[in-house]
Amino acid sequence: MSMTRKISFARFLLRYKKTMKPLSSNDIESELSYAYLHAIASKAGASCNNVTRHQDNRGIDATLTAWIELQNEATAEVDLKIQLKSTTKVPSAQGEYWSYSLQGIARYNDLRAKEVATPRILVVLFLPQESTEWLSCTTEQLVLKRAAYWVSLCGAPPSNNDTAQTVYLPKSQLLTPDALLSIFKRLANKELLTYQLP
Amino acid sequence: MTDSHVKSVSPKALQDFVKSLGWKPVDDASTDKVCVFANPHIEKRQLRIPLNDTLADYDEAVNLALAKLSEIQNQPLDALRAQIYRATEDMISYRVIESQGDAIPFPFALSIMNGAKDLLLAAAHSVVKPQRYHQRLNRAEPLELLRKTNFRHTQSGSFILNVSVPLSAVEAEVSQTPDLFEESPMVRQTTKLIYNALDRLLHAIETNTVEQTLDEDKEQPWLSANFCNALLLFEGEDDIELQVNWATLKPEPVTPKPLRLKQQYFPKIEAIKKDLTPSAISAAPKLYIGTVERLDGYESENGQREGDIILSLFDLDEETFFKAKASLNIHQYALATKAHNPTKYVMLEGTVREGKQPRIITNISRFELFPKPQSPSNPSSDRT
Repeated sequence: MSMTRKISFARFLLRYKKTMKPLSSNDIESELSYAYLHAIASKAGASCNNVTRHQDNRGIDATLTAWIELQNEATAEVDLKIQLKSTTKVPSAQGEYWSYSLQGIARYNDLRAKEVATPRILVVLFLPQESTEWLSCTTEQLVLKRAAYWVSLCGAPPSNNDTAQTVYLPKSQLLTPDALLSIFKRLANKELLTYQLP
Repeated sequence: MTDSHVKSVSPKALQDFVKSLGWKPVDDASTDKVCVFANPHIEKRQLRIPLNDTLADYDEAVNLALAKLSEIQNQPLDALRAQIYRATEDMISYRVIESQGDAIPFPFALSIMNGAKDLLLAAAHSVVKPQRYHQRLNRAEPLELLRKTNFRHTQSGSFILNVSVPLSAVEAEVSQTPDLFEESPMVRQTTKLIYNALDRLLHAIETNTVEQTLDEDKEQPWLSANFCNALLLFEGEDDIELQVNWATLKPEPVTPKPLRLKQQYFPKIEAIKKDLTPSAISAAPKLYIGTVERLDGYESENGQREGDIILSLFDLDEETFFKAKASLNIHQYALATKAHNPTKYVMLEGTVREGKQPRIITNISRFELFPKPQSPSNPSSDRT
């Protein structure tokens, strides 16, 4: 093995050692939310790339890519950036919306930016409060509870807060394979997904 | 790719690069933020290249496009990035041709880096204004060129300093993103000057025709004292080989051959540098405009004052300010006293000696208030 390869392998081992530790409850939440997203995306025929896991359960960034057939029979390759969060808190309903406290104003500003090359959405997975209910597995099925909703914060107003901003996810925007495909189709047709306040 | 590396690749350069690989823009799919490219030989794949480097996610978008390209072309990402640099940047390599050992003295390595920097600055200044000597190397465009110059990886097994400059480093006056396929951008003119000037200089030294060669382009000097001064920083124990690689997106008709700067040439280069610096040239008096900053004269025998003053002068040719000291006679000193006011100016003609400021100005043949005040009763009273 050349010296360069030995050094690369050593670095890999060190990185592997660093990340190999027992998962905390927050880590499990985070990984389950990614598994949820990956399953939905795969069923929709989209690939999941550039996954970054943030520390302290601050979520996951992922980029999905899908291939959409257009009316003129051309195929558009569309990218979508996902900011993925999970929570066991009971979502608070506000009419036709779920309210969610998004931590980190920098993250909020990143999601609401209009002048971006790659559109981005926020996805929040609402997990049951009891961890025993998060996932069940039988010979018949694998069930991952409960549901994820998506929202585009593009064009949202600036925040006056220091640490967190409440955002509103439409109850109608459940993240399903069909919903994800619909998002991709709208983007392929150059539609701008903007934020609607309740 | 770090943010600074990504930002050094302009949107135009990236588009030109993917075009050179056979990708074509899909106008129907493009928006005001991204240009979508498709490749007729690659089904169902598209690249989205951001159109503007002020987009909030410009670096992410570029990295995403490059990651896709790397996967599609089955090429490691690092190799792809290296291709982009070669396509969009002129590179000058300085190779130390070792006579012995596997190390070079650290001070020599530092000297080579400084030489590379000074060579770029001297050449860029000559591109802006060809002259034998640049009093100061502080013009905006050359400094901008230097700021955007990159120091690339050296190659293992030898000591090679790679310095590359994006062709789009200095923007043209009329365009935000100069078209790489228009007339030579300033960067290309600079790297060509470095190569051509060194080539001619080495040939002149080798054929003992330095004086004739320098005389050939008196009106548009291709060689400056500053350029020679930069070359002198390469003086050490080993010869240096200089190799220029033009950005592949803007090739030149002739492939430049490597140039070898031999250590034995340095005494001659030192002599040429001395010949080109103003103190050796019989300096013609020049006209300056400025303000009188300080009066340091003394009372002469007849009770009137004369002596030194400090001026802040504007060099009309160099378009720079500098401090100077002049020694005035009684009449000139009287005018200087009148002009010792922030709102008043003087015009003088004289010879400025090089050196630290305040520079000494001598042979003053003209000293007057500027503009000349109206004085019908005695028109010559304010001029000496």
